[in-house]
Amino acid sequence: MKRLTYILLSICLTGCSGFLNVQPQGMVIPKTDAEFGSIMHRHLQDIEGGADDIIVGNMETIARLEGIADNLDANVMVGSIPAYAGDLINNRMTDYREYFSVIKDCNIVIENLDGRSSEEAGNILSCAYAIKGICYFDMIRDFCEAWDASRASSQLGLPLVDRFDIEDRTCRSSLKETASYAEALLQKSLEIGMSDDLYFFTEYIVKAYLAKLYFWVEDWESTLKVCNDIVENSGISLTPLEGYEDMIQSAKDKKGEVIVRSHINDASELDWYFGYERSYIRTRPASLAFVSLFGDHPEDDVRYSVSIDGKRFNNKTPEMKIRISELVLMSAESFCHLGQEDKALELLNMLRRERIRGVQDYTAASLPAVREGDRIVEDALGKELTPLMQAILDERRKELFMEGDRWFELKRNGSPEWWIINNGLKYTVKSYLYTAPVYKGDVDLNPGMKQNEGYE
Amino acid sequence: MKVMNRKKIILPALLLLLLSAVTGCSYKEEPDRTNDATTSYVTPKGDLPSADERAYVQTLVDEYNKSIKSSK
Repeated sequence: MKRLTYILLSICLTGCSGFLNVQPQGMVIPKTDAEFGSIMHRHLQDIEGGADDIIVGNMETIARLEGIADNLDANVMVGSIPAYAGDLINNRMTDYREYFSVIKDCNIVIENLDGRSSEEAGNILSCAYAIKGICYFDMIRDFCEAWDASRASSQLGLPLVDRFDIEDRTCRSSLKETASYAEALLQKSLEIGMSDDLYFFTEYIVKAYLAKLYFWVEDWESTLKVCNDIVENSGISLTPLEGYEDMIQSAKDKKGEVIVRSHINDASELDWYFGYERSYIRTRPASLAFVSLFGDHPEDDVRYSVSIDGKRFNNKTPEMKIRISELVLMSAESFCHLGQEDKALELLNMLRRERIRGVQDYTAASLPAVREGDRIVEDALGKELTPLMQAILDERRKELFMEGDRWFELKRNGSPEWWIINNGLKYTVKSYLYTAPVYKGDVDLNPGMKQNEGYE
Repeated sequence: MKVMNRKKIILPALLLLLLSAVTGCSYKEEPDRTNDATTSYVTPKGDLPSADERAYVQTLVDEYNKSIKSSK
């Protein structure tokens, strides 16, 4: 009997203790609407405080995107912002993981709140669908090739992750499927009809992202429909020339034609950091190609002095925004692609009248000829630039300077190759660099996960 | 006799203890290791620019210096 007791005691003392690990360690599994809401509020707080660098984007996003694009001239002065897209491939790869961390949060909320009837649950759910849809839109631009309608069903898209599962090994879908998925998410957010500013992504903000998604995937009719809806019904209109500077330079407020912007919180603990970021952005001058767009009388264009100072350094408050001006330019380009040049020209002239003092309207005959030696030589459909398309792209470049747009303009319009010289060496922005690598850890772990071309 | 009994109990108990310690269950937290343990890609390297390319950059720098002097 004693022998048996000793044996049992030995087993008890040395047995498995793994069961101790299954207890939640300092974490609370959310149950109430408010607890799920706090998951979303963490991201909203980042957006409003300017710390979010992936969903809406922030000053750091602008420094990175403008650093690797060509509105600023790294050949003249590199300054303190990234000089070359090739240097950033590993940072951009890490963004991929961050996007999926946000998507994981959205999935937890969507899985658990779908079906609840309270108003608060609806608001949180709408917010989760919107953020997830915007993440997919952002990732389509970053991690997928530029849209090519003839190949969209075979171009690499993204893993479509519907639920939180740590063991999940979803592979990449096609670009076409990913675009439809992102569209469905934004539409679901709109179906709930959330109007509470507390959850940030209200109707016209979501519609603005939807318009940008349609524009990126070259669905010109849908772009026009959504842009028109926003312009007609949102109550936000194109800011006139007199109010332009105040609208652009606003430190924290969403003024004039701004539909959505980063960093609207006046009590951000990161303000000290943004002071540095602002000064880094001002260490590289604007390129001659950009300055030349303002013509012989640049001071007539309100955007000139708002954008750069006498040394061509940035003057603009560098915040991510979606504004009515961008929607007007997207509409003009959509009309142009649909062969409705008169309507495109009408919108272009309408914008120019609100930006350039004493400007003469363009007519089909007075549009400047297509320049030789420009970086962009073909449009989004791969066709040679026409004078009208060039004029639209020029206006867009001036309007959206330092808003993180130019890098994607280059990608969308032919992904041209170009180079800079830094520290005595020439670095070429090859076409494949416009598409960032997906996270290497995912590719290594999952044999079915394909990496983008150029990073094998 | 008592010593013999103790040995009969203590020895198997020690063996059992050792066996349990070695084969006791453990909680596997890490995913399988992959062949490639690197977490990043090698960034593209620069090339030596040609004389024409260096001269072109110099014209950009000269134009910039001239324009900011004239704007003062």
